[in-house]
Amino acid sequence: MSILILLLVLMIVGAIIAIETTNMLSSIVCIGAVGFLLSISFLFLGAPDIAITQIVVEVLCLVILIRATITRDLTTVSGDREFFGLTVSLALILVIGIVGIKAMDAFPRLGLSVMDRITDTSSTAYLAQAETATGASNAVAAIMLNFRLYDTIAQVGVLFFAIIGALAILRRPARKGGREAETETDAV
Amino acid sequence: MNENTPRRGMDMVVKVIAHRLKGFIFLFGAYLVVSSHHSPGGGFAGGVVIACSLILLTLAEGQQVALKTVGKTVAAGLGGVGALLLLAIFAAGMLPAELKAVILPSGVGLMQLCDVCIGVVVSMLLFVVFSILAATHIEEKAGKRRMIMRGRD
Repeated sequence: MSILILLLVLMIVGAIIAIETTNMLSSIVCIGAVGFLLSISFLFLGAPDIAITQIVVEVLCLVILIRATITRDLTTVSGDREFFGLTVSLALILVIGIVGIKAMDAFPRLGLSVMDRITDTSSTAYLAQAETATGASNAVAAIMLNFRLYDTIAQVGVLFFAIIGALAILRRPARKGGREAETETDAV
Repeated sequence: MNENTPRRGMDMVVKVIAHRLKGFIFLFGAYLVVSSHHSPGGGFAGGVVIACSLILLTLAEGQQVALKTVGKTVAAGLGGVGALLLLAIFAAGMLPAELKAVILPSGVGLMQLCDVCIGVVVSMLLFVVFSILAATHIEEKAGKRRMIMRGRD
């Protein structure tokens, strides 16, 4: 458990560095470090499925971030912050923090399942029947792909439509930018 | 190298290593997709690994080689076919039980079918997104259209 807390502290440090640093590349690298530490902490919590997904998506996101955003124009925020906005956001953070700490009291210790404390939930039935009903020895896959298959298909549908929308938005400006760049090099 | 010619891909070392590794990465992705019922993995993670093997090809050897392996139209089409298959499974699940037993495989077979569909959708569409987001703009030179890597010219 102490390793997990160490990982969490390192993740927070990485996230703060990612926000505060002025270099775009080091910021992206810090985000990647946060993702990898999150993947390791999933392993310590006993969730290898999620750990694999996390590390794989993290690698892909890093590559896309570095390739796609690092050459673009970087917008910088300048000027003083407004006093009113700062006060309101600080107050909101304070309230949410207090409520979150209160809510954490009701949770089980870090790394234990909430569902362990409640009898007769669907999760206990799923876990009991996972191997006999589906023939799959991986209970996570049994739940995701058999008991809750509609959920999984809907998630893939969300991903599909998000990507289709992204393609529809991104395609045209990319071509136009390419032609403009071409004419500029010709003029030079 | 001349300033005006677009560089295709990276160094020789990177190219050779990527060439050797891409098959194994693809194989690992396929393993994650197919065997998720008794080991960690799953369609989504395996699909992303397969997309990563194609992205490695794009980064190392340039986009023309990668698009020759899996064209953009082919990739988008395969992703669409996978999504339609998932939709068909979705619809078939609502049929009455006797008819459902005929159409859909049961148990592990259904799980593997769904995993393969999810893997195809995720890998192909993520590859298309990467090749549009990170890799191209189209260059027209001497009447021939070709794509070059953004940020490298």
